[in-house]
Amino acid sequence: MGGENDRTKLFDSELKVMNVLWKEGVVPAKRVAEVLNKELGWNKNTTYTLIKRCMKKEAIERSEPNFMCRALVSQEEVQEAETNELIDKVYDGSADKLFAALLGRKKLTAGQIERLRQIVEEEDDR
Amino acid sequence: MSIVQMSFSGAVLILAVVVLRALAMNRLPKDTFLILWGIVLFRLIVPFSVPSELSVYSWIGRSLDRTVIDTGISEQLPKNNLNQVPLENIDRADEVNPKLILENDTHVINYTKTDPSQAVQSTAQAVESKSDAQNTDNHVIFSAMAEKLAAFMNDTVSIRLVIWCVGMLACMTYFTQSYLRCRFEFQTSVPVENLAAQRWLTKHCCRTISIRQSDRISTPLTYGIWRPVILMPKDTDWENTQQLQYILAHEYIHICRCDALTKLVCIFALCIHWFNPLVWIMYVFFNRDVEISCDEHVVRRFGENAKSVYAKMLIQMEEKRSNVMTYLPLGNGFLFKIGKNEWKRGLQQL
Repeated sequence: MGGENDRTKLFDSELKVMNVLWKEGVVPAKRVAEVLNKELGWNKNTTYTLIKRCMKKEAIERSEPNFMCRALVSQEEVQEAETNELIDKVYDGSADKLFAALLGRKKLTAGQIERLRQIVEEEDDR
Repeated sequence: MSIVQMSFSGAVLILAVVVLRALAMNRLPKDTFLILWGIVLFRLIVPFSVPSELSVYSWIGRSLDRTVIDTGISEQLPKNNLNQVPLENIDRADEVNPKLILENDTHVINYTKTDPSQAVQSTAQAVESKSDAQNTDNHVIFSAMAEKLAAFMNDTVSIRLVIWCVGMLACMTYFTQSYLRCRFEFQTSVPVENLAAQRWLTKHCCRTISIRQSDRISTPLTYGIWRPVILMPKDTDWENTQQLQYILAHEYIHICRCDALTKLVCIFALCIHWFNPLVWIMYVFFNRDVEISCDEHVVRRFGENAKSVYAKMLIQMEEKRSNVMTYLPLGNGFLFKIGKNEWKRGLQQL
């Protein structure tokens, strides 16, 4: 459990790198640098250093030739870990409180509320 | 002028500014101290000799004279002889009091290493000043002290030189690696697509400024000399336009005043004079004064009503401050690694 927690404790900048891999699959590091340069203005060195950091955190696996990068954690795993941390840290370990807070935010659009209701109904059906 | 001499006179200046700061901090505009620190930096980096009328040693002498009733010390030097030696008779300096010869000789010895003409010139300067003989005496005393110190240092030249070089390189290495580490973290920041930020940018285009966000910092800061970047923490409340205005105004002042460049100069002086503890003290005070002066400008610009909001904001930032990025050699953060008491005092000054 400790290992998993360490693995998914990624900073925002590293999550941006992971996002590219989650969206595009297994790509060379050059491609990741290209995308991030266009999106965020990061230079090649920055991206490469971040990829190496992710590799140290066992979030990315490198394979030769061409410095191919593959995500070792899925987006869902990271999301779950971050959500659990949010619930524990900010909502006293109660998922209900987080849910109530989400509904209470006046920033939810009609579409989002509808989708939430659908998810709840699906859970009920299960 | 040797580095030891510059360091010595720089140290005297620093002491003077520190004393002034302790006495009159709340009564003077903070920009005054920035100008004073600028003078100190100039003294520490640029090797030049000041004529005795302008020398800080003379000023100290003058103010001491006013308070000291017992003139036992001043009588030791032959003031009369000093006035009577005309310019053309420098060669016959041996006719003057021996003590003066010794001091003048040290003057000459030190300068012949670098520039012979300077020796005559500075001795002439020492002699020429007829307006206030006391000043010249004091100037001669202090200069002689500085020169004797330098001469003593020069005795074992190679060892001292090596130690100084090693110290300087150690300082430079420390600051460089600290800067590089910070810079990498800054480069992993993301651009901000906030309307308020964009609007602010279009109104303030002194050089190409960009605003970015990072989850690695807890208080706003600015870095970069050619392409300045204002870095906001991730949890900035972009809706709070009033607070945003203050933060951006504060950082904008840093950018317009080229504080990043000035800090670079300060660090350069620190690396050269690393052996002088007063220069380290100057470094700490200088950074503090830069921040406090920015705060003063912001409050002045936005009016007295801004004071309470601004003060509250500073308190919030102090609470949030994490240990990740507290020390920024070349960045300008809101709270630049200052102790709690000094920070409270800064708050009181607001």
